[in-house]
Amino acid sequence: MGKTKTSGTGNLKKELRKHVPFYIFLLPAIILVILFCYMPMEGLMIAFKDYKMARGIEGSDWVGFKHFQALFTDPNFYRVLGNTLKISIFTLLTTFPVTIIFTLLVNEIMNTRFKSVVQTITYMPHFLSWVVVGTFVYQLLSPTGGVVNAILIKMGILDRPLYFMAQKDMFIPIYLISNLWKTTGYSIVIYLATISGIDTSMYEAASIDGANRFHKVLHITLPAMFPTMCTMLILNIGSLISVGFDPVFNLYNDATYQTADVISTYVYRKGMVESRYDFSTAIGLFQNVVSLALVIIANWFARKANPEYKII
Amino acid sequence: MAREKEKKVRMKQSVGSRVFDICNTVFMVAFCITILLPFWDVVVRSFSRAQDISYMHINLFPKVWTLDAYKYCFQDNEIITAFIISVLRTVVGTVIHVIVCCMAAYSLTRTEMPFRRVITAILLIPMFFSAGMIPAYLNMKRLGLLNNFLVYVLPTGFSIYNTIIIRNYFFSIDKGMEEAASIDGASQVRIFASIIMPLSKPVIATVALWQMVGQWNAWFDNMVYCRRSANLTTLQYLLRRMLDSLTASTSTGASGVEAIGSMVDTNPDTIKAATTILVVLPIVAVYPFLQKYFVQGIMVGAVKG
Repeated sequence: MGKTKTSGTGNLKKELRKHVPFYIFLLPAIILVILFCYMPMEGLMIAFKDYKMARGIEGSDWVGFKHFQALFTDPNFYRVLGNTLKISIFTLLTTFPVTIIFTLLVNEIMNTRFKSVVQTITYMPHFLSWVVVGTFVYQLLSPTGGVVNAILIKMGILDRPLYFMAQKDMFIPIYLISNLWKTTGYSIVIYLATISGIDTSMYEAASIDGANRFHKVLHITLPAMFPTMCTMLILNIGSLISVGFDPVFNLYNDATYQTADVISTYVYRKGMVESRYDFSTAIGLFQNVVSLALVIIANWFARKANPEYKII
Repeated sequence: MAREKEKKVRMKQSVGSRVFDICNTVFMVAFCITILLPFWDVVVRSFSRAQDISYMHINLFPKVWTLDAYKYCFQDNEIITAFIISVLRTVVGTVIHVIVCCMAAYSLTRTEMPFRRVITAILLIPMFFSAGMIPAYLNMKRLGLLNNFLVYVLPTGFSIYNTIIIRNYFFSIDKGMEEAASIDGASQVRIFASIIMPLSKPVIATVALWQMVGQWNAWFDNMVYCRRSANLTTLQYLLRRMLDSLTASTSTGASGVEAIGSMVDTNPDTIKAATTILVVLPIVAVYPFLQKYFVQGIMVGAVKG
């Protein structure tokens, strides 16, 4: 405020009055943020309380770190934490290389019409909800009339239908493939944008020097993608502990809890299904604090790697 | 001699290059088929007779084309109500979102506004830290928004991410027009409504489309906040419940296969498929025409983000 002028209350008042319409314009946004983002934070207190619905958030008794102690001695929690980390790491290990390779392959399509058709089709699943994707997966893998079972039996690989979705060892592969199916087309967009920014004279110069297509990809395209790759990788590390609720919830079931349950789905079941509000708030708080720390660390690295990087 | 050698190398390259092109095309076609296969599978099921699809067949087309499943859907009150609720929340939610975000974005372009940094921080912090599922639920309860239509459209009313994208677009608008209007005595509201907004159609279209897709696809708020009110069920949640009835059978033990087999009568796959089509169709039908706006939005976010 008052960057150039000499500061003074009179000046500030004048500036404030001048900006009255703009404050009014901001009002709806601020009210919504307070109502739906800041007011719930009061509820975080119940992570340290023995929450009784009749007595409310304020009226319930403090119990200190009781719920956190219960949490860290709960074998289920370690299973869920392990699943969360496992799923995030596997997701990162599959999506990252697949995205890069797919970007390069799409970029090598010479026919622009074909290229845009490919992009339109592969990009489409991004706009479906995980409910729909879950329906697709259940139906394709269904033991009664699912295409996958039918093909495998015809090929003689299976002798009777297998209920894939109820196999706990199958959950992670199914999750990873569904995830690739849904997100690959979308995630290449940002890389293609980077590639379109490369100076074409570099490719021409390389051709004159006798470079073939493979050389050009290796020495021009890939290095140009490198900064974006770093940023994406760092951002992914920031969300290591938060596997999304939607994909897991729409692909898992009681038979696969052991390998599929992640923190967010565990919070949902403990809280919304079993009504253990205080305990599940504690789990959620643990997750949010850790992921905040990871995001801050990741941002610090991103800024180190690329000084122009800003979160907004 | 040297020239001939070079020619040979070039020939070799072009052959390798051509082989690569062919492989790449084959791969891309295969990939696109993989993407489209599940869609086609639902389409086939939705037009099939219930008794035709419970067998072990790979059907590229329905054995007998029928509209039975769709007829059922359009007579089922639950599905019709859900469709109306989904459309309503999409329209109302998008309108609120666009208005709130644009107004906030316009204010945030005032670099000389006192307390601008404080306000930005207030709006930005929730992006990094949220209270979580249960506190949010208790808060909705306290606000009286459980089993209330407003819970679909108010919490989604503002997004700092979209606001920043819109603001960046506003920054690119020539300040001269605004100043001229201001000299002519136009109020800020008027400048905003009749100069800034019309000039920002591309970015508004993008944000509106994103929000529309988000609203249409939302189901979690339905499951958590409006679980018990049948007249507020959205199409997505209805589909989710059909999925639930499928997954529930896994808990009956090893005989999951038989359990599903016996359920076909009560909840036929064809009706589920037809409902899936109702859920997917609006997006798939609109998407190819508006794809450029979707992509454009990512670019704006990526370049200036």
